[in-house]
Formats: sequence, structure tokens, C-alpha cells
Amino acid sequence: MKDSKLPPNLIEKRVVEHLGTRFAYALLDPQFKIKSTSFNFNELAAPEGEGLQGMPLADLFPELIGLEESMGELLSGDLEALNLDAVNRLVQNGSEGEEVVQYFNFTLFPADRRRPGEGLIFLIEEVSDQANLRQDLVQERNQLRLTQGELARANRELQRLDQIKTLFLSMAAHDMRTPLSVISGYIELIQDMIRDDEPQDKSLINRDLTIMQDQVHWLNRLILNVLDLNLIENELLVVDRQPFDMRLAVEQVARSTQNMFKNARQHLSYHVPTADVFVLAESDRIKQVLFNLVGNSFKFISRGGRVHIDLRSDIDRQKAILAIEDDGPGIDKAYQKHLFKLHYRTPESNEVQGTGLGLYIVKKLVDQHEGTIWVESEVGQGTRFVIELPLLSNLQKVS
Amino acid sequence: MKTVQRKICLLGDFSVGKTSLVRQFVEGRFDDRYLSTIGVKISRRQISRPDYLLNLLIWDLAGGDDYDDVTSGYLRGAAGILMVCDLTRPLTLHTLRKYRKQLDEIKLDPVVVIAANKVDLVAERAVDDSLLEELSQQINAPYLLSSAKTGEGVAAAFDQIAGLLEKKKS
Repeated sequence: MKDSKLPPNLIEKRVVEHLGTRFAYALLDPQFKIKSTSFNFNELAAPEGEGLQGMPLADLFPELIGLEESMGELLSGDLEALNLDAVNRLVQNGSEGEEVVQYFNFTLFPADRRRPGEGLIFLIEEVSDQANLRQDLVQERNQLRLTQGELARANRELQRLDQIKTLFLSMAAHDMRTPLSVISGYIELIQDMIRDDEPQDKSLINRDLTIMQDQVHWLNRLILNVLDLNLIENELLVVDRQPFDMRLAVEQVARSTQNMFKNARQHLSYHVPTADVFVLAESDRIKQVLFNLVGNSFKFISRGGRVHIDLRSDIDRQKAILAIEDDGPGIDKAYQKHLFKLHYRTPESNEVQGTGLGLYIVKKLVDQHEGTIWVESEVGQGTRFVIELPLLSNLQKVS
Repeated sequence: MKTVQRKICLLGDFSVGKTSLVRQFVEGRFDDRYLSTIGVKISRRQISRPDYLLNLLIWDLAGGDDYDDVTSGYLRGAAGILMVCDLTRPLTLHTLRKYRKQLDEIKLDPVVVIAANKVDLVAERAVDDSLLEELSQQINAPYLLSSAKTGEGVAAAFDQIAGLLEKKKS
């Protein structure tokens, strides 16, 4: 209904041209229905709209739904104006027909300040140019803030890793010094014996050499752990799995560490079943797992303490079960779930040498063998590490 | 069946995923690109409730700037607010505390639900459940975990707002 439009007077047109912005307005009755509009209202608000007179404004601008109470306050004079800044609207792009986002400012205020109940004026202004500039600025600012946040997080992580590395180096150096001092001591002892012209007791020399050999093995395992950590962190750790009888690993590790226990006045025992316990595994890696776990228990038990290795087969579940149990101080439940994390040390273990590498590597190696590992422990009751690996069937053993 | 219209506003720090949540809820899609919202974007979606149809007018407000009079204007008439934080950025929880305080200052009492967004980014998560529970108590609003990317918790967040609106009315 074209009669709803105010006649385009010269002043109004000049004002629009002069300001160079796109704005239009509508006069609303007290029920917020359109009474009349500026000459250019359709261009901005309802490109295809005809007969706007009498139409509720909210039908044309659903953005106003929910604002009835505030509009009522405008009518009663309790509110001077209501502004909605940069309202995003999808508008058809004339030539191509695609939808583009345009930004509009909406303002509502009483048509007559002295008699606000008469009706309202709704002013709509297209502000896409300013809003797009603002969008560019805000986008850049927010991206910058996100990047700053990421940098700060990365920096904190680097500092944490640097601290761990420093701590690790200091622990590793400390760990390596102990066997080196033992070796050095025994070398001096043997040198003294050789300097004496008296005939030597070969068994004594042999005993000292055995102790030195144990310490060399210990050092070797420490170095292996460090090298394995490098492989794990670079995702290069692979195992060469062959059919292998786990009993051999238990017997060999028990033999190799027996002296170490004896010299420390500690006890190591083991039990293997009479029947073979074949698994698909890399034998050296399984021995490494055992050395780490036995070595770990060795560090925590006191003089006279015991470590026992138990191997058995669970035929029903087709599992090889390897348990290493000790009568050490035990581990608090709260710390148990963290034990297999890299560089994790329980508060109690800080008094014992260690790099926090052993159990982490053990877990990775067990994973590589499709096995599972867990810990059972009570404070004051000792600790039991259990590993389960899939048993090989007879057919697999033959093939 | 009766139809009811309600205005729901989304509040939260910049880049927490407010626009993506609305897009997922209204259009069922996700876009990985981040584009800052300026002003307000209004979308609609109807949801079915047991006895009526609920037309939600969803106001997606720009985040990140300090709360001001302009934001207050947008919030007029809001029946519900979905406060959104980012599980990978703990500071975004603090922003919600500020919003709650400012809502109280302008004496608005809409129902509020917290969406702890980006739950799909498991490795980058930096906010644990205890922090969310603490926030939930502080601003007196239930929370749920959401992902605008996978859609997890998105419809549930708006359903929860609808449920709270019914509870408030009764």
C-alpha cells in the first residue's frame, strides 16, 4: 500500500544523500504496528514488501521478539531509547542472488517525547562498511590473543620439559656414579692384590670380578633405558617377536641378579612351571622388562628383604602370567595409577635412586607385546607387579 | 498444539564456539574456520516439548569484549542464557563468572545453563570436572559437556534450558 509511505520531501532526500549512509524509518502505533514509513524503507527493510501499513513490526523484524516489555517502557516514557547495535541479517545479493551478511543498527524511541504513548519511531541504519572494518580488527585481535595463549602454553610446557630433562640428567648421572664407584673400588682392590708378591686366591679375585660384572650390567641397563626412551619418544620402538619360552627369561634374570641380592644381604627366589610357557616375544625385551621390575623391587626392599618371581600359565584364559612381588614398603593407592608415567616418582621414592624411566619403558614394552601390566600394593604390605601376555597355542609353536 | 516463543542468548569469551554451537543446533553442520562475530546474529529453531512447540529465538552475541551497555541491550527480554566456555582455555571460565555478576547487577534473572565446549579436543583439555562443578556452584547453573564439532551435548543444552523454563514457570 503505497499510501503508507511518507512523501519523499526534498530535505529528507538531501539528508540521506549528505550523510551517505543507508537509513530509513517507520512510524509505529501503540500496538507496534507500522503506521507509515520513510520513502526508502522498503529498500532497506523489506525489498519485496508491499502493504506494510498495519503490519506488526516484529513480523518484519523477528529480532524484536522478546523486546515487547522494553518497547512498552518506551511508550510509557520509562525508557528513552532502545538500541540494537550491528544486527547481522542475511540479505540477497541483487545481481548474483546469493545471500550475504549485512549489519544494521536498530533504534526505537518515542515519536513524541511529550506524549510517548502516541507511538514509536523505528530507525534502521545499514552499517555494513563500519561493521566489516570492525570485524577485521576484532578478528585480528582475537587471533592474536589465541596465538598469545598458545605461545604461553607452549612456553610453560617447554619449561616443564626442561626441568624434567635437568632432573633426569642429574638422576641419571647419580645412578651411573654408584656402579662406577663400586667398579673403581674393586679395581683398586684387585690392583693391590696383584701388587702383593704373595700367591693370590683366585676365588677372591673371581668374586670381585663377578661383582664388577654385575655393576657393568647395571650400568648397561641404565644406558639401554635411556636409548629406549629416545626410540619410544620418536615412535621407533619395535619388537621382533618370535616363539619364546618365558621360563628361560626368568631363570636367566634370576641367575644374573642373584649376586647383587646376595651382596646386599637380600633374597631373590623364583618359581617356574614344569611345562613350557611359550609366548610370541622378543626374548631380550622380556628379559629387560624383568630386569627393570626386579631391579625396581631391589631398590625398595630393606636389608634382609625378599623378592620373588612367579611364572605360570592360565590355560583357560590362554595367558602367561608373570608376577614380581616384594616385601618392600608398598605404594599408596593414590600414586599407583601414575606409576607407569614418564619420569613419575612417588614422594617416597625420592629417597631412592632412579630416573623414573624404568616402569614407563616396561609398560611400553608390554604394550608392544599386546600384554597388560598392573600393580597390586598396600602400604606396609609389599608390592606385586603382574604382567599378562597371550600364550602361544601348540599350533603356533610348531609353525 | 500451542506454540511458545522464547529468546535465548549465548554468552561467553571469544572463540569458545558460540556461533558453532548455534550452527550445529540450527543447521546441523560444523565449520572449522574461526570467524569472529560482530554484534548479534539471530537464528530460530523449533523444538517439541511434551505439551507444546517451543520456538527458540537464539541470539548469538559477540564475545570477548568487556560486558557493556550494548550487551545489556541485547539481553533485554531473554528468557534463557547459554553460557559457553572452552575446555581447552581455563580463562574462559573466569569470563562466565564476570557475566554472571553483571547479569545480577542489571537484575536479569533468566535461566542459565553452562556448555563446556570442545569436549572432542581430548588431548588439549585443560579444565577438569572439579573446576566445572566449582563454576556451576558459583554461578548457580548446571553444566554439561558439549562439542559443536560432533554435536555432543548441543541439543541437550537447549533442552535443558527449555526444561528449566518450564520448571521456573510452574
